[in-house]
Amino acid sequence: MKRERESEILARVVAGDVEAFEYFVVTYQKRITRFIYTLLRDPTDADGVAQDVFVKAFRALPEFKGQSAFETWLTRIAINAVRDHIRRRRPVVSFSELHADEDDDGPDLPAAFDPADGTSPERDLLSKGIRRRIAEALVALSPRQRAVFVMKHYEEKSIAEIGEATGLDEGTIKSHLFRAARKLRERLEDLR
Amino acid sequence: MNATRHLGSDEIVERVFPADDRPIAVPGHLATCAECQERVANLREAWLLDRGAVSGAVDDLPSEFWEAQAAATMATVRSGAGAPEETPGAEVRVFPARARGILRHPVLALSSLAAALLLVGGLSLMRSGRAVPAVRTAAVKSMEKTPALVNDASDDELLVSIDRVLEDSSLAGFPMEETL
Repeated sequence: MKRERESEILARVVAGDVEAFEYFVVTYQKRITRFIYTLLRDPTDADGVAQDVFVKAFRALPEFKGQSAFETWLTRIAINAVRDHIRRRRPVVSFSELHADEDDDGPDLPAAFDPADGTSPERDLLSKGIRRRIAEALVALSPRQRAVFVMKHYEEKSIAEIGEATGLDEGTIKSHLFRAARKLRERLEDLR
Repeated sequence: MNATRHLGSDEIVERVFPADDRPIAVPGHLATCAECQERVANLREAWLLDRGAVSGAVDDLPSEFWEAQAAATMATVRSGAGAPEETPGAEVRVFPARARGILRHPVLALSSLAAALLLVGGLSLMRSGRAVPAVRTAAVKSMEKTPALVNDASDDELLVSIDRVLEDSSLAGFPMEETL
């Protein structure tokens, strides 16, 4: 039902009704922004890349054949956009930024993105510390490993769904997951 | 698996981050070892905390944020409707495209280098020695027949080599992009 409705709206957009595209932005912006934020861990970048994803999708709309769900196609665009963003950004990420002092709260999370509930300073600190370690571990993964890992363990996608979004076969996905988990283990080992 | 052995780090990670959709069997040791259970629980807790924090941070953003994002996106869409796809920022490569061509075909590259060196060497000789006639092949043949003129056999061999290289039609067929 949803797919039929989306096909109808897509046809309108392709026919020149630009405003109809807003349906897709409003419907998927939260999901796409969350996915990108989980990958990048930078709220400003996540917002910018998410907007870029929708613009790219709009421009590529004539190429969308409807063989997969629009959301899956959008996810694929998001993965590519994140990969491009990481590649462009890589030279300016310094070693010191990746290995910031554990006690340093850092400028990483604006209030809107900071989930600390303020129940206790110790808990907030612990929460930030653990999150920072996991974020560092994720950032150390290759863009593809990161995307596969986040889809599997943060978005609870099945291997088949990940395959549809990434175009990778089952064996490759499992290999990425295995390697990602190993790298995470190396980074998180002393959290035990 | 040995029921008395503690789980290794890889096994701990595999419990929390399985690389498969199917549930993995619980090791017998894990059912009875509080230490291993705690290690699994700690990692799982850290991951769930992060997952919930990331998800919650985005989901809890005010509606104004989403409205502003949608408005900005649609403004770009409207202004750029029908515009060509943006070209991603130029990547900095270790080797330029021509050099990468050489790296893909090292044999061709070495052949070209050798030919170029021979050519440069031969031209230097020609410029320095006015006795060398313009038609090199004929000159070399006549020099071979005239021992009195063969003062330096290596020079003769060099000139012959240059002629062979210049006459080698296969080299002329090399695409310049790949050889330089």
